[in-house]
Amino acid sequence: MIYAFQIVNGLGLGMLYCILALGLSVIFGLLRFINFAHGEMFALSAYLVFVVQYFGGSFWLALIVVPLAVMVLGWLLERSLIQFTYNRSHTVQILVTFGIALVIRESLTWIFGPQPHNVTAPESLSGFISIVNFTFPEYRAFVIGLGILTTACFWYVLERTRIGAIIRAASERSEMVMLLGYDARKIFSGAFCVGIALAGFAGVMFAPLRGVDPNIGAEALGIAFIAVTIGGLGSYSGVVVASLILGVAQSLMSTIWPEGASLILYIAMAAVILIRPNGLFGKTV
Amino acid sequence: MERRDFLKGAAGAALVVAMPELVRAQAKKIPFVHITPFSGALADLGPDTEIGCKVAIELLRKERKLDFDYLRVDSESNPSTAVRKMQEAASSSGARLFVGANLSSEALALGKEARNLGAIYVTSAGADEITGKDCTRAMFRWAVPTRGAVEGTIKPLMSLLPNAKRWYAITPKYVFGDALLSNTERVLKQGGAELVGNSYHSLTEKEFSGYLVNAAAANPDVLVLHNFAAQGAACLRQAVSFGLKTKMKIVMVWSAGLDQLLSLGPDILDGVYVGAQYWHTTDIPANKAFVAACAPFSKLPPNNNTAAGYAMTMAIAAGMTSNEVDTAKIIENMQGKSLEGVTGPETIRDFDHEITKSYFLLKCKPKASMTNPYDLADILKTSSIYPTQAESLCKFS
Repeated sequence: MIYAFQIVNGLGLGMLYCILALGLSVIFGLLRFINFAHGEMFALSAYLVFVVQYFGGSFWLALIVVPLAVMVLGWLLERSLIQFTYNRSHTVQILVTFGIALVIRESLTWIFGPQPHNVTAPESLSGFISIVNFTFPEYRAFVIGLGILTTACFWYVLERTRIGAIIRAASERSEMVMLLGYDARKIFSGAFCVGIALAGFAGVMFAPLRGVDPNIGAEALGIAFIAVTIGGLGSYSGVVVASLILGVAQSLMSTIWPEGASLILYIAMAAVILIRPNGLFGKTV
Repeated sequence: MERRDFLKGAAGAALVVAMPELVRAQAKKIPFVHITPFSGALADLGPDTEIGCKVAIELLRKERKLDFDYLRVDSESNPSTAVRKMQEAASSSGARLFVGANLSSEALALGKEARNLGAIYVTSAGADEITGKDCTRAMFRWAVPTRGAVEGTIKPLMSLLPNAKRWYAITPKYVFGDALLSNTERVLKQGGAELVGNSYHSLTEKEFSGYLVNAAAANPDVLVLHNFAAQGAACLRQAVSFGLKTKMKIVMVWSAGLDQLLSLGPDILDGVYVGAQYWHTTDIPANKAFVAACAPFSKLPPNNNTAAGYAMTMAIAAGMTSNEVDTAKIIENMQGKSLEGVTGPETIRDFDHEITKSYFLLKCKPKASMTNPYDLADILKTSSIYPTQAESLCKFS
């Protein structure tokens, strides 16, 4: 019974990881851009939820406002810094985004202090769902449901709509798309902002689960990179499958070999890199 | 030469001659190093501990004319970095007096390095080895060790909850967690209860849902959290969100004190039992004076780290009779000294260099019972449990 519940818990955990990794996957998959500031955008959003609640605002307000606010910040960064690195080496991209990450992290520490802070889940989702002898938090169930909805909507837009086709085409052959009359720079800018908004969305959803502290961004970036690497760089469905595998593996390991529950994430990544260097669903670049 | 020019020249020459004396007078300040994590996994320890050090230094300057030159060193929550930085501080400033609220692994490494440097190091880390088998003559400790913390929380809780026979633990896998776990297991066995299971986790873990599922499956009467600081807070938050507080009692054996409880809030904490090295409402004159002295430095009441910074600094000062730093003499003077500490009477033991103090078992209150935002818990039990000399594994080499 415990293994069955660990699988249920793991699928939920995997869905959380999926939300976290989606934004990174969008930015890397479409732009071939390595965003080391992804985790700190996540952390910034989580702190903004804390600020909204501190001033008496509701979680629901934060859920709408914070991803938009972080998206605006992403757009400003893209216009002022990031766009100049699209055609540069990955080293340059890493250095620029790592610098942004450091500025955000140190600013958060400076403003809010190194201590963790609590973020409360909405009152309406503070109960539990009972499954035989186990209980599962309603808020986690809500996050999983919203994660599935977001993932499905995203997949539909990218794979089944005209705008999705243009975005995918721009990522494959930007010159051709420009010759057809579309502004590839605007498409890239839009894709970057959507990726950042997804990081913001993940930050809002995670805040009541973990609280906020200055190190949550680094942890989030690590998990997102593992999911994207295992799933295959640029593979949208790969990220979903990889995240679910990671969640279930970590949860099951909590019972089988608890000390290795976190380690399994890195072992899985190392194994995939060795056996399938392009990831489970990745294409040869 | 004009008379005026001669006088100017003479005054200048006198200043030059006197200069080394002035420099020497300034150099008489005693380099005093506070080496604690200000970054890394336990970055929250540094700033609060620093307040305690500064309160003590100010008091010592006024009342005992001891003039410390405070130097802050970030140990980065990393033992090898901490040792390197201790060496650098010793060679660059000649510092021989060190205090730090460190990770146990950092403290053990720093204790050995302090001995090599001929320095004194006072820590508030928790592992039993610090004043046990890995003790050094250079190292002192202001904190009830893991054994005392477990006996100060689990034992009274067993009396309060006589029907609680099944206990489950969640433990970080490193020297501190292992020490808490082995003591918990021993105390439960002695009291006729059973540790029905334990989930180890890594020191970087933030996702505890899998371990909480293990705990729920074991169906214990009490869930014992051995994790510390941000991990302890994350684990407790998730335990409450998974509904475990409604099914079992929860005890956090070694909390980080007020700041940690504030970060969790009364909704999560209500009914949770918490062990603490310090609690700001302790009703003794030394603590009241300390709380008042901290007020200019912080809007919040002092927490465990602030108290540790203060107590560690005062312990070193207890061995000093002047601004001269003769570490062998200071160590000799410190041994056997009795102090009026912020948790109650303190004694610096000569055979293991424990600075004995009190440990508190708190019970967190519901929000409705709080009289102010910091009134989060009541003290249920105060204890001071240390190994006896016969039990001590400390053998100074």
